[in-house]
Amino acid sequence: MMKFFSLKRFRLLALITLTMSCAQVQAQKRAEKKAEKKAEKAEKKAEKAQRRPIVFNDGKINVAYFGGHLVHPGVSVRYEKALKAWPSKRRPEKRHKQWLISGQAATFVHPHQNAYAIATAGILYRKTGAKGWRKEVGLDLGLIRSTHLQATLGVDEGEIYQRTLAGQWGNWSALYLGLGRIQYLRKKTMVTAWHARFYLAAQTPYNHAYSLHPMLSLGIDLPQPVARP
Amino acid sequence: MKHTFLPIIFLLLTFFLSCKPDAPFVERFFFEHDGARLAVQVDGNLSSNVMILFLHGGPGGNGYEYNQGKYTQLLEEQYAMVYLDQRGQGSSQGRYSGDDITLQQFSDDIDGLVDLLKLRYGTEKKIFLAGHSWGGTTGTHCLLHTPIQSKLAGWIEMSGAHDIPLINRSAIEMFLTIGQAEIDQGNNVEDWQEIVDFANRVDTLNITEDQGGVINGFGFRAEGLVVRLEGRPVAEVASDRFLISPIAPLTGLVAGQMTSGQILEETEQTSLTDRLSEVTIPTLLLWGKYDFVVPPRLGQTALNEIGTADKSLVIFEESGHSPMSNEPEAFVQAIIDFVEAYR
Repeated sequence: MMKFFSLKRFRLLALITLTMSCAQVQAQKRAEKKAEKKAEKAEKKAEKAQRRPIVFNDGKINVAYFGGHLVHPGVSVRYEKALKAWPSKRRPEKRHKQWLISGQAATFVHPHQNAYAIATAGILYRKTGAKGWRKEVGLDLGLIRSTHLQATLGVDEGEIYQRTLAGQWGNWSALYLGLGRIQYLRKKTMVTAWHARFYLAAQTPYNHAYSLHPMLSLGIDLPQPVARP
Repeated sequence: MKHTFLPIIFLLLTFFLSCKPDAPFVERFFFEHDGARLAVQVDGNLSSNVMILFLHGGPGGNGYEYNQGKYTQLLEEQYAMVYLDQRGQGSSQGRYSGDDITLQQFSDDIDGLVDLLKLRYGTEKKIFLAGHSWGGTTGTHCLLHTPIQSKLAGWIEMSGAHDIPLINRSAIEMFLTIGQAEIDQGNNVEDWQEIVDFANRVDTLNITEDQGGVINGFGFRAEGLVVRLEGRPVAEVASDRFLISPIAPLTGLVAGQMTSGQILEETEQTSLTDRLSEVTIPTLLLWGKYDFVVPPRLGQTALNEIGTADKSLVIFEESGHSPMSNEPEAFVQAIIDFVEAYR
């Protein structure tokens, strides 16, 4: 028993205890430093985010070229409102996603055939990237009225008759993919965005079935003050 | 900020690109008939007192395709040309049931349009009906199933498909004879051999609808393989002029395909040769010698059967299914000779 508590063994034990406590202190210091750095970084991020805030649509009006293709021109006015918006998990200070609802009134013309007017309501999903690029996919449903640009003639009991503003009503359903980008104006106090969208729309009924309209929309949001979520 | 101007510049460019000049024409209108609004374009020399109403091919074609090329220019200098987009095709619109896609309805539309042309441009106008390919189906059907003959000065059938079973049998014969001759001369041997092998497998007494489709496809392909036709101008299609076409290309394509699908079964069974004796107005038959799609045999049988002495057949030696494009001058001259004789 006496031999077990020898001086030599006691010194060794003390040395081990001392070393362990020193290591603990050092680790604690390192953790504190790391936490400090993290807090500093978060602070910087927050400051940066203040400088370039996230933009969520609270309600935007968009005007656009809206044509069948380049030689079938038209114009569209569209209102978009965010139903739900949330930051992305990665780089949440800049990237975000949205579900929006929209209402659209548009007109376009096929110079040899018809003038068209459409009114739609729709839903769209939009992702905004760190540099302000936006990708979106949406669905519009509504009504279309086509009015013939040429005279519409017929024969009834041996006489010619002419219809004025002849045309037809139909249903309009459109699926579209879009790309755009947010743009800041006036030292970043105002914000706008441009978009390019490709629509594939169906008009029913048309003849005995349906008609497909590939549409191109190129437009801008009316500028509005920068908003935060 | 500078990025904001890029889309604006693009918008402006788009707008100015949209301002394409329109080709000259006398009149465009829609003809309302039985739920459909048929697109009609009148071009050419209206003062000539002669109107030629063109029925396009297909089913699924359009009148616009026939308003292209040299022959159109030459004919329009002489006469007024009426280009019709038949029901459910090209720019024609309306709202009706799929049950209204029948040959009888197409015929009634044509008859109704002739009434309208007479009322609008004067009863003194001499109207000639002209049908190419499937337009020959609807045109011949119209002559036999409506009172139109009394309103017309003449009938011009161009590679007209008035008897589909006869087309299929005759095409098989042409594949075998011309195909073998081309193989013997060492021309496009591999392609011709495939066509000849197919033709040898077909039972000509029992040709199915599917085989009819293959024969039609091989017909167009065979025409492209004939060495003698190399270098000849070919027919234009609407998609060649995508941006300036009066027909929305996708709309025209979809409508045409759907109409074609609807009418195909009735068309495939159409055989009007036995009733051609009821055609009693002056008739001009125009065929290409190398037309594998609607073989010249149909022109020869039509010449024998048609019930008038005022009839003639012109075979174009260096033409396929579209002699108007392959040999435009000779084609136009044949029409002018006919029209001048019977106007």
